[in-house]
Amino acid sequence: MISELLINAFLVTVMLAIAIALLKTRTVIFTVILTSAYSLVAALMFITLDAVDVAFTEASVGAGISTILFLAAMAYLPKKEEENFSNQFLPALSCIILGAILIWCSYDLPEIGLISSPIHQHIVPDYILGSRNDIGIPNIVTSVLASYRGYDTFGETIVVFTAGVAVLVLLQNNKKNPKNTKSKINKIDKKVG
Amino acid sequence: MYLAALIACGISGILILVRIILGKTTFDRILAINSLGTIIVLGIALHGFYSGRPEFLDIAIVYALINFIGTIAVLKLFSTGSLGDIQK
Amino acid sequence: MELVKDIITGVFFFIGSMSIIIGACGLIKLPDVFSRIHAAGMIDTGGTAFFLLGMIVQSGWSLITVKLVLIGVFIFFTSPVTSHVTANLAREKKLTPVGKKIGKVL
Repeated sequence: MISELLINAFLVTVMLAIAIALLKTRTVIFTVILTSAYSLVAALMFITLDAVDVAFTEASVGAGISTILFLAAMAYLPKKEEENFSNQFLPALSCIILGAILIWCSYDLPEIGLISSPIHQHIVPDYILGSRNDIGIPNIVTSVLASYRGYDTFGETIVVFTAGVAVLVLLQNNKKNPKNTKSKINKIDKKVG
Repeated sequence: MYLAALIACGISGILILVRIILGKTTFDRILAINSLGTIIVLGIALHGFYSGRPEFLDIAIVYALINFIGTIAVLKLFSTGSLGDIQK
Repeated sequence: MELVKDIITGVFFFIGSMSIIIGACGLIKLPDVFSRIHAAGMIDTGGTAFFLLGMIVQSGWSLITVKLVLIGVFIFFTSPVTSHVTANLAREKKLTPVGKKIGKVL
């Protein structure tokens, strides 16, 4: 029990260190690399919380796909950025107030794994009891996603497919006049570090 | 035994994190991120054995592949300036 | 028999822990990219091999052993590729190794 606490405290410390380093950085590619490292540690945290499916998603999407997407978007960016030195007091104040409200609200949440919390009372026992007999899949998360809530998953897939088609249509329209994107591409590999 | 190995993984993870934050060039950081990925793959496997359920090893396999793909993507962006065929 | 297994696993884990800690210290201590690749290679080969061997000794003949061997094969094929590409690109970007120059430098 004490070792679980130790592992969790270590992971939270590492994530906090990465977040502080993210605040200090000023180059885009270093930000992308640090975000990838943050996702790696976050997935390890999900494994210690026994959420294997979430950890799987975080490993493939958070650490892999989103990093590559950010990099592919970076190819369109100019290398030199404008620095914004305006007054940042008001955004910092609003962030601190919002964080304080969220922490204050989190005291009303039930404990992790408490069996009498409302989320474990409504329909989850039916899923847990009926998953093996009704559907025949030993993994409960898979049976909920693919069978009990199959229509939801179907709708989500349609939404993601529509978004992909829309992005393709937009990019194809941009390709006919390539004046806008061509000049900035070659500048990105001039400078390293 | 597994806890000692996990602690060793944690110590080396912290040391690698120092290199990621301090690193002068981007290559240092990419190299350190790759090593951190390897350490985390080992940590997932060790944590599975430590908690008595080594079925988590699938995630470690996914990690080993994703880590390689991410590193190669960053390096390709540096070498050619793009990931796709946008410059012709 | 269990005791022998545990002793073998302990020895393997000890060597693996030493490898990864020495490799991480080398990543901090060594002066430039080309020598840090050496330290990173120590983590990828020595640490991974000995940790996976220790876990294979513990798990015996099962599906878990197959998965562990798969992880080992993936890392053993991907790590040299990454090191090679990193060194090659660093040389292309005109980074030179630190130290005394004996003969021709790359």
